[in-house]
Amino acid sequence: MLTRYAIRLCALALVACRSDAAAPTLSLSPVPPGPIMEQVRAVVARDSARWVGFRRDLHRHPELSGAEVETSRKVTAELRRLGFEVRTNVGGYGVVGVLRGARPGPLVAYRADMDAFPSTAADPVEFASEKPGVRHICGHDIHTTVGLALANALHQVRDSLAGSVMFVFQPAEEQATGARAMLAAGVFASEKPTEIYGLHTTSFEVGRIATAIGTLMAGIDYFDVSVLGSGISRRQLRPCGSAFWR
Amino acid sequence: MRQRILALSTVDESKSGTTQPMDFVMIHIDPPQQSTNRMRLTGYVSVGDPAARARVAAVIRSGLGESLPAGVTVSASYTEKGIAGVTNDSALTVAAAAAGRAELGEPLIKVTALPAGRSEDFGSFQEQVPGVFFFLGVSNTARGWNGFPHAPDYVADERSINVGTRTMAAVIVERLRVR
Repeated sequence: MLTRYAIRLCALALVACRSDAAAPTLSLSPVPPGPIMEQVRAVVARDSARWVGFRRDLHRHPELSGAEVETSRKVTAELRRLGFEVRTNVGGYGVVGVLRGARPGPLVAYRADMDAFPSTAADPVEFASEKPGVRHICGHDIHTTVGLALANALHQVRDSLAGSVMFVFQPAEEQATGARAMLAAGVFASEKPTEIYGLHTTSFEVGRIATAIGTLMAGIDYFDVSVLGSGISRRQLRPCGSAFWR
Repeated sequence: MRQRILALSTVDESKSGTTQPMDFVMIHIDPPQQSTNRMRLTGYVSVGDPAARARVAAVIRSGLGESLPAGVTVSASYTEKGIAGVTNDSALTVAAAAAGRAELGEPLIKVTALPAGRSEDFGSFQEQVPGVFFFLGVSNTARGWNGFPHAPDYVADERSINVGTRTMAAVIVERLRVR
């Protein structure tokens, strides 16, 4: 989450997707949402400890905006383990993985950001940052982990999906440059999703999640006002020398 | 002129990071840049509400309606959405909230205030593709864990990983499930 504009702005029990890919597929007959989500919940519960471990590894090894080298490598490895189509170095260290459902349908995107933030404050957790001056104090380690846990869970029910999911792992969110860099690099050039989803940690109690129609976070606008004083004295243009400036 | 710009604010810059009404306006002005015949003021405006944005933009673009001394001219530019901000699509939000609520129940709540001075470049994607953004609670008051982003004592309760995963899965499954 950007704190300001520009500069300050702020496997496993898992999948073994390769072998999983060879495993018997689920029925392609229509399945109501309940049963699919029961499968999702089972996968989430089964792999919970692993994802906590993954998140703690990210937390110990935070990387600043534009320098998400190891984070993107770890994300790439997870997506490849799942057998996704993977693109790397998209707009910096951005990573894109695509999960294909069993049947044709829309392409839905899910975005997670990966970068950490400068901080010299003490890290109070037992799996503290091992990189001086850099911490995940904006929760992007949680975001990245949720993105991968989601990819893993949906991979398990892919035979019940009509469509595809594009997982977009974005660099440099804290600099407000990563999303536009990925767009400029053509993240949606070959396939444009119909919709995109994402989340950000916040101070609500754990267990709660929130959204709203319309504006959810402010934008940042810039202004530039110049007063040109040809024909008047320099003194008149001084910020404190004229009521004009106050 | 500086005061006229600041007067457009509804929230002082010292309140950055606090939650404010949806139509808040927070303005930051950089130190003035001065040369022989020119004085320049630059800065940024944190604003989410379209009507509030239009109001601020109109005033600044007009050169603040100043009565100018003879020989003085004003040049003003206002760039909207230098950082896009996050704007959720109405229909998708209704569907996503329903799917999330079906999965989680009551914990899915409606956002009614915005953090002033904070933004997210997820909005850049939303300028290309409609979408929905969520806030995921990670605080644990009982244990003294503060989940406010960028707080020096930020700690996220890791149970949020499962909450986020299940909710986002429910949203996407509802969009893509075989019917």
